[in-house]
Amino acid sequence: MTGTLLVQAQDIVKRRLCGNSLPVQLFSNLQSAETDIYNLLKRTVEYAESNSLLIIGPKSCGKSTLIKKVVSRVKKNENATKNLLVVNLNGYMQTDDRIALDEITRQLQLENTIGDKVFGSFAETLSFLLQALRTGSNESQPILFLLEEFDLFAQHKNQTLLYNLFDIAQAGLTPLAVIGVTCRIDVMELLEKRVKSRFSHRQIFICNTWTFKEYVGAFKDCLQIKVEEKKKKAKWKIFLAKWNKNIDMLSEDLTVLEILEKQFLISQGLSGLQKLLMYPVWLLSNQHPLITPADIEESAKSLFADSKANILHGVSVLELCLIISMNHLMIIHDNQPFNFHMVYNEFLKFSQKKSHILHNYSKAVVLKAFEHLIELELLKTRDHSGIGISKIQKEYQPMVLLVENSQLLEAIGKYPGCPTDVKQWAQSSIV
Amino acid sequence: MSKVRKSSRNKEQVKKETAAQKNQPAAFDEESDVVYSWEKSSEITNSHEIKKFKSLINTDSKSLRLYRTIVLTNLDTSAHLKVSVGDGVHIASEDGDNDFYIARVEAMYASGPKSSDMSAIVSWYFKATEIPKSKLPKQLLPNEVFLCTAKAEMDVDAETIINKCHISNTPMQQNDEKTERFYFCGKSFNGKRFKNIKEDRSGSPAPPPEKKETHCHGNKISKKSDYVVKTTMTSPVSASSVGMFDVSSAAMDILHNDNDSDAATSSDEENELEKPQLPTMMGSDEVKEVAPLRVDKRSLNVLSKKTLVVTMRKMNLATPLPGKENQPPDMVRRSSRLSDKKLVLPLKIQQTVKLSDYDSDDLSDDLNDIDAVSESSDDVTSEDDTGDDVTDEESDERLAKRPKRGKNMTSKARQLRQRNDVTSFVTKTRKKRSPHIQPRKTPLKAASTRFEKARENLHVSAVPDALPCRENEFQTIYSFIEGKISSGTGGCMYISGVPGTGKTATMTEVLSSLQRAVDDDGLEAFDYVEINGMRLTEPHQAYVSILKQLTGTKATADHAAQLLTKHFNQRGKKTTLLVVDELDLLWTKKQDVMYHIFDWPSHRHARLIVVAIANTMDLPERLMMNRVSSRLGLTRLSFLPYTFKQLQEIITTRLRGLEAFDADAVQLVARKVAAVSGDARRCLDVCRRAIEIAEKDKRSTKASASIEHVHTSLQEMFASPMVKLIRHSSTHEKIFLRSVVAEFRRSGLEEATVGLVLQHHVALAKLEGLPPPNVTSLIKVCNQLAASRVVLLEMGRHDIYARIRLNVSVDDVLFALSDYAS
Repeated sequence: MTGTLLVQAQDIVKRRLCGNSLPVQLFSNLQSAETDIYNLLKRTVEYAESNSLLIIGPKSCGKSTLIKKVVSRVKKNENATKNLLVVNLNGYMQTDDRIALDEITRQLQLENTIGDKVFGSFAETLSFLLQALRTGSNESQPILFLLEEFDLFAQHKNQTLLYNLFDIAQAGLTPLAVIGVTCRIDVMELLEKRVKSRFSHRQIFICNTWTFKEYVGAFKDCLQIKVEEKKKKAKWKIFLAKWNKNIDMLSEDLTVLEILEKQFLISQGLSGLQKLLMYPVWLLSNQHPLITPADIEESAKSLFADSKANILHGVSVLELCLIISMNHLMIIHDNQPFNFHMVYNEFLKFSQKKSHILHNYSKAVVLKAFEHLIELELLKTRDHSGIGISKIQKEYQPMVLLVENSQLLEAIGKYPGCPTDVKQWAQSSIV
Repeated sequence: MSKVRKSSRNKEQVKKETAAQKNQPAAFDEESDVVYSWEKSSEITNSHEIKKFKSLINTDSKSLRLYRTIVLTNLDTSAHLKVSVGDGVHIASEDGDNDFYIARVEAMYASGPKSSDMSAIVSWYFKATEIPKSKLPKQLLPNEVFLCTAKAEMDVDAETIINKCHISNTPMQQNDEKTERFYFCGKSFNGKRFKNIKEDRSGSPAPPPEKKETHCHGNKISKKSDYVVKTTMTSPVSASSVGMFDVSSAAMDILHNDNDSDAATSSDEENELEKPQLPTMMGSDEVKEVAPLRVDKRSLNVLSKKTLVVTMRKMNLATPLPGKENQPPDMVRRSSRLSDKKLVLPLKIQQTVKLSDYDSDDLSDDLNDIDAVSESSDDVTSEDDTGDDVTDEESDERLAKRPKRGKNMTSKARQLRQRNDVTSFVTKTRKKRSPHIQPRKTPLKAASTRFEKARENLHVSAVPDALPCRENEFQTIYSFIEGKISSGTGGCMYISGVPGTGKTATMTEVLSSLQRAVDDDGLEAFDYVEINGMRLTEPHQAYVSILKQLTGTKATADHAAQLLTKHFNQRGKKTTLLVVDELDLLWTKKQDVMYHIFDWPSHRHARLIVVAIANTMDLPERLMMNRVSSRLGLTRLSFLPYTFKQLQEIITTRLRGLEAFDADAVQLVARKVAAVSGDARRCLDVCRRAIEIAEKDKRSTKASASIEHVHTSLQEMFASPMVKLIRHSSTHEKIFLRSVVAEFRRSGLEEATVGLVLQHHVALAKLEGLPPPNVTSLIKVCNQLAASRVVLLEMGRHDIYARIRLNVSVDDVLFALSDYAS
């Protein structure tokens, strides 16, 4: 029985972590922005007032959730459900005006569409759509254009779509509300001057203002499930009580708090939190019905893992030695590029003088190892200068190391069976 | 190869168009107000005929009723149009724009009780304009059309029929008066190549039963007797032009249904012909689809060779041998004459009439053709005897050899004329349905409170009674245009000004004044055409747009340019006023669009006034080539940005009698905006926002927007949110920004690589007492900042060597972070 209850609870939380049906209280800090947008849309719906608006905010601060919430709130109004047409566009999907226009015609179900297909060439679709929008008046159905990733629309040729949308919004034809959502703060500078002039310059700026305490609250909100009145099953209630109590305990656990703080310091957005919680929630099963601090710790370990240090665990001792040589070279020459021969010399110095375990590898073998490291992208050619690097023989190409000193030391610390003299060599200060 | 591809596209297009026509006439299309009734008497009851037609329709549905004649009634004009089987008709093209297709009605049937169930089976004809230029024969006869033997949807709705036309096998004469709706068809076109229409191609869709071209007679003869072949078939042309009697003439003869050996031979012949051709003509799947159709027809159009033979023999006697000029002049009847008679006769009677007509046909008009044929007829090949098809090259060559007929008017001009005539007809009979957004379902709320009214008046879209502060500009433009209109000349004017200075608004106002002048003061009426560079996908679309607004016709860009040039060269038309907004977007490398637009007014009969609007004052000098800017002339007008006084006046006029705004507040807005851009739109937007804020502000006792409200509004619209964003970013993001600043200070450059910044970051984090995150996490932090463009990060796989720059000034960063430090 607990099994099915667990699956239910897991489902609810999983849905939240994937960005759908987030609990309302999470975005309470956006209250005033919400009212503003709501009023704006209401005026478009009720008074046929055209408007344009930009919502700007850093990633994962709840822009799209906010606008979704407002639209669903507006739609509760009977006046709006009957009238409002919503067109959703996304800059990543409608990568040029042609696709965008087809998509708009499709979503508006204008006369040149049959089912999901839009007929006519680009020019025809544009003139058709413009004609449709320009013949409208106050008495036409209001249309809400939602442009997600608005900055990408500004990169379309001539910004034709934006110009026309804003122009119609300015001209008092079909009532339009054009709402752009973007995370680029300099988005206004992307607009061409005549497009900019037609834009109403309303910008709503939102950002995350959470303190750490609120962040922990958000953590609890994400995981805790409210007991709904409708479901009066006693077992469900008991299960939820247990579940919620566990979450409360988690939020007071020191390890968990430490991890949350680490995440909070890096990013205040919700998405980091969601990523952190995904692993523990998916891990739940009958044998393991409640989230434990250890689960979260495990998840954090993979979330905060250093990718390059991880790659370094998989290289051979010879390759590791080459990386150390390169690191020394970078330090000695103050980040100036090196080539294979310099690395080889450095390596020889170590293997002949200090090391007792390393064989004398032939140059060809060392070169092979060197190439393998290039393939792993642990080092790359210095191509800022750009010209003719590919023409230079491989051994003489200027290279730079992409591994930081700290990463190297971390990797060596964890490297299984690392020879002691190699370890010492890595840690020795050369300057 | 390219030929093949082109023509197959053409075929595809035909197919698609006809299909669309059938399935979804409402797509782009006009509403058809045509209703039709059908004459009961014309219903076909003869079981034999029914069988025949049914196989044409390709169905075995029992509920079909077949008709010989239907009457289409146009509701608008209450004109009647009687359409009978065998008539040539114009069929509306599905894009609705006065384009039409030519077809011949093969059968008409109703599949249900409603009038909309009436459909027609047609055989299509290509107009010369529908065939790619490269494929067209070298010499085109006037009004020449080509039978479509490519696979195409043959079923059309009866209401798509626009009107009747006549398709004859006799070329039109230059002195022929009524050329508009008379077509000549001597060749078929299968999407790949032309073929002269054959006598016994039962596969080809229906044909004009009536008339034939002279040189075909030679073929007939050749078919009938070897003797004649030897003497007359000296011309490959005549051989290839065998097909004058085709299906439907054969089909008529079915009435005398005594199928004899001749029929067998002809179908054998046919098979010979068709089999090798088909695969080269189209893909093999298509062959499969086409084949049954042909078979159907063949089976139903059982040829009565006897009758045919009789007629041909008759003609034989009358026909002079090709190559001899002294033919009896009464051989070929011009199609027009026959078709002038009402073709309401039942099929059978019609046939008889036609067959009997052959003898009295007048040949003289076609002597030229015969000459041509005989001249080029030195290289006979044996395949001609069997009436085999000739290859493209051969026929092209031959066509090339044909002497040109002396025509005053080019075929293009004819087409143009014809197109225009049809245009007017179409517009008369059909009502356009324009695209639109559905009207709202609940009533609109009216603005009631003072704030609501003020907001309405302040919206950019609200049209003021008069445009304040642009009186001089208005006067200049108005007198320029009025002068040109009344003197019947043309000219160009260039208007420049930064966005939001009322260029387009003034132009609109001038236009409405002119319109009033036309109505009241007897100013000569003029055509008005408006294009906007931003509303075009591509500069050359300007031609299409102009042509469409001017004549209502659609054409490709190149063709439209030609038509327009022709149009502006014509005499005796109204003055045209062309307003080109956002001119700079019509710029192309060759500048041909701009060149044309400014060149037309200088044509002698053009009577074109061009008003070009753009943002930059020096556009003609900066962007245009000399020959373009010279044509643009020096009549220029520049709209200066509004001064704060003007902005103030604009707002006060809009708010007159509303008292919703403090005078000080208005002045503040006007000064602020005038200092930045002088953009009236921006000014109005700020005011509108201020009113919203005032409305929301519960504390305010006064019922008007005050300076504070305006100030908040200005803050919202002008202030950069950068500082706010930095203040609310996460701790490591802040440290990262400080590290960037620190690295800048260390190196003295405004650019750093990520790796170096990271080292600073680790040090600073330690200083703050925070555990330094690893490199991967730090790169994440860096990417977060780069996504909102606080810092600019070099794209590409540079990893820790990517260069980084700040998108804000260092001072702003320090200011934003200052309270963090405290």
